[in-house]
Amino acid sequence: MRPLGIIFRGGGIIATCLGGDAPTYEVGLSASEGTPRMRRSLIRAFPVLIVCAALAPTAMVRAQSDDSRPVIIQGGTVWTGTDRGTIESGTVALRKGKIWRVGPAGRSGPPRPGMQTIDADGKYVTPGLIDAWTMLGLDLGGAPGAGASLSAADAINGFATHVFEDARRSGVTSLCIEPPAGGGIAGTAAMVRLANLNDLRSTTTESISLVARLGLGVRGPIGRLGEIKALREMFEQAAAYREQWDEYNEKLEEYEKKLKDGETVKLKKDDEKKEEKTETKKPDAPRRRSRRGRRPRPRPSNFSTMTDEEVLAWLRDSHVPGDDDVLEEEAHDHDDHPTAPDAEEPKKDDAKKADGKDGDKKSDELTKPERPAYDANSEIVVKALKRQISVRFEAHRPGDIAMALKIVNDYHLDALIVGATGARFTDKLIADAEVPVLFGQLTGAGGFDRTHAAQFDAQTPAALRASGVLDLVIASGRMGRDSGVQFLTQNAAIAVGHGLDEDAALRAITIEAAKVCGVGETLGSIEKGKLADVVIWSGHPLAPDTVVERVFVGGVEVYRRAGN
Amino acid sequence: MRIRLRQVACLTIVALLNVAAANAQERLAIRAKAYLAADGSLIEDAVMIVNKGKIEDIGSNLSIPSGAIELNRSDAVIGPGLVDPHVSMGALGRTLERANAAEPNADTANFFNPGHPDFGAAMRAGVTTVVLAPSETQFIGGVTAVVKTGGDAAKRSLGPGPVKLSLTSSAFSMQRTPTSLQGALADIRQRISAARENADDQSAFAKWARAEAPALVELSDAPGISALAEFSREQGVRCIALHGNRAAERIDAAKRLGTPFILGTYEFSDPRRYTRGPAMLAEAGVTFALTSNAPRYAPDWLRMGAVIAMRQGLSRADALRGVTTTAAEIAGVSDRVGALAKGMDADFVVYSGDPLDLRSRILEVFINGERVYVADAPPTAAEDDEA
Repeated sequence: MRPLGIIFRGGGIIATCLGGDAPTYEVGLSASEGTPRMRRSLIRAFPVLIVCAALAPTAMVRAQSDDSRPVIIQGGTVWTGTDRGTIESGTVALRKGKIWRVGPAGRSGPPRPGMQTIDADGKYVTPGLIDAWTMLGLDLGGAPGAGASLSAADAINGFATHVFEDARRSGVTSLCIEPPAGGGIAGTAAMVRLANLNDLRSTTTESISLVARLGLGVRGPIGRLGEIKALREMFEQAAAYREQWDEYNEKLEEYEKKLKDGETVKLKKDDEKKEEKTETKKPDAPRRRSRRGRRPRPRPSNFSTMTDEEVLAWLRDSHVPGDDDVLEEEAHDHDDHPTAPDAEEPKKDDAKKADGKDGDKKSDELTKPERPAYDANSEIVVKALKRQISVRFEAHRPGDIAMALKIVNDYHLDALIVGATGARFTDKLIADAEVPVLFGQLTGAGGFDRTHAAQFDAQTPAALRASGVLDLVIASGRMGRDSGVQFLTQNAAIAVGHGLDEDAALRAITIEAAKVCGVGETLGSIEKGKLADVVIWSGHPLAPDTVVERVFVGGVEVYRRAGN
Repeated sequence: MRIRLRQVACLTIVALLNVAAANAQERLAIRAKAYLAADGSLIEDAVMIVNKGKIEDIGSNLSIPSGAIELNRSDAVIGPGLVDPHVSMGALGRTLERANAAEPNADTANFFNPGHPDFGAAMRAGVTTVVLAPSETQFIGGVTAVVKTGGDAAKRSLGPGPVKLSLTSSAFSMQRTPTSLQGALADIRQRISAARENADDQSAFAKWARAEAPALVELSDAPGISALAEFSREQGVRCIALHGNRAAERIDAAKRLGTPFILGTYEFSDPRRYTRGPAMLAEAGVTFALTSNAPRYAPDWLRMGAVIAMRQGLSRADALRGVTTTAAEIAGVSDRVGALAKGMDADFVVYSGDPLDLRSRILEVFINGERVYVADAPPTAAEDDEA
């Protein structure tokens, strides 16, 4: 029972229910604002109000348990996405936001009071679908050459609830949203679980994956080489950054340990002074971020008269030839402009000399190590190097895919190939590398995109699977901000129509998608203990005339088809 | 000597096989699990008799006439060859006349390149008849051509289709007249009255002006549908609005036009409000055909567009009509293609299952009773074969 507090104030009665995560309720009205007669009647009604106030939280508890009471889905064909395969006439029980029980129907006995029982006879029950490659709900335009620290999570339009509702009523309960269009290093992708659309932030995991796009937004082989070079530089830079920090942390630990071991008060004071100094230098730190993407470009004279498209094209083009210059430029930047800790160097030497006069050699060892500069881009790339986050290489042409696989091997990355329209020419390479492949739209775009269309074939998923690539994911691809996701099932159906077996196609939009998004342990299949994201379909999910009947996210019904 | 005998024997066998093939051309009986009827239903135990490139008979459990070559496809489903009412296969960019905006006598048949790979791609997507149309950058683009995507070269052209006009913004430029929609409509009015005065003019444009035939009119936006409806009523001409993806936003105007629409290309990048369009139009009683606009989009988008619309509530019958009979009516060849029925051309597709399910695979395509495409076996892993 919730704690119940009744507060008297200024002759009025405010009964307040306090407790848990429930909102605070105010019952009654301030009697001091009323007439004396009203006040009298209020005093007479006091016992009634007390009772009301006492009952209010009970009512709330009941209303809440309506959401969290167990849901039993009975009699449907349950496609589990696990080794159990499909259970004809199965039961799925959801409780406290998780999947409670999965098994053949009829074992759970008669429904008990407080349970919500749904008859799914003749219907299909699947895990909530996961669209592992989308740009749904993105609000901002492209940011060419944005760098690793750009986060797609920052660009999600929280007000675009209708597109997320569209996704849910199409049976999609989680999305992996990539940063806006743009070639090269595009930033990081975000994982969004479509639970409470008014508070998507609370179910968004940002920076789950670093996105690098090969062969997009650059023209010609020179641009391609520059792109690969930039990618390698990025990893090398991050590796050096990581080393620098590891060294620093090691030294710092040593230093702190020694400090604890008991040194003279005087030395401590010196250190404190130094700390103050470094603290005053702190505002400088952010300026020392990598200058990638902010390098000066020759400004065209007719800039003001250019259209948006022309400006974008110019921005894109100006990336191509200058890559080498820029990298050199960056290197110079670091040399030419002595950064804060460097500037501090002579002072420290002075301090050391001063200590030296006292003849204390220990003071040399007790210099507080210099804190390396913070670099937002490298921070993300280091996570990728440590395999804490995956790297998504969007690559289409066979050459680009081969190059991506080489980088994956060189840096020992946890990676996946995204797009992969030309993947059937590199099937053996991909199979050997054991890298998952994520497909977008499985139909050639047609005339304007001949290079891709000529190489692409909806048979690619089936062909890759036959060659031993087992981790296949199908997504809607980067279609648009308000579309694509509702056709996820039909994209999978196309793969079936071109030779992929149905089970693999369903896995490609559920459990395999969950795995590449790093949520394979909690989402993507109907399994005891997983989060209760479940969809009930009127028929087979890949059939053309099937509709979504109900959608549960975390055991809470978030969509129900009209007339159900 | 012995070798020569062997050669003769081989040649004889080849000749006999040729005779068999010729017989197959004469009369063919195809058995299948089901066939797709014009109303979208699947008729079980299908038997189709093909004679001289035409469907002699089709039905459930028909008896097979003696002497007919039997093709057993008892696991498969037969569907009609699809019809795409607006493509520029093999002619992309060639039908553009930069100096003159209006070329009413231009004939798209001149650009028909039977060997172009675009047609092969269409065939593999189950599309057997297409309307080749001039570019939307021509205000009056000339007459369209109705062709088959494969088969006997002599039988591929089905004759001229309707004349095509374009009222999209890309048809208007400052370098030539007309430069605006108003200018274009004024120009058309003048041409219509001229054509009506000259009864000898048998061009496609003149026939349209005299309300003897419809015209395809390409539009780029929803308000254009209202403008076109007004114009058609005023001039008493029939206009088939093209690319009315957003026709659902002007359903009243669409109804006033009284002609079928051509919708598309519907694809995965369309938001729900567009892909709901076909279902909404069907509900309002407006008929329509779908198009892929191949080769700008892959020809596969024709069948997929129908399924996408079905996912948004369009009925099977309307979806099927949209990619077969309505398109054939627009092309003026509904007596020959668009349905599996007695007397029609034997243009059909063998699917591994329901033709309106994207999970079904296209196995074979026949045009005029001749097999023009056979799919390769789907890729399977070596391990699977052993197991």
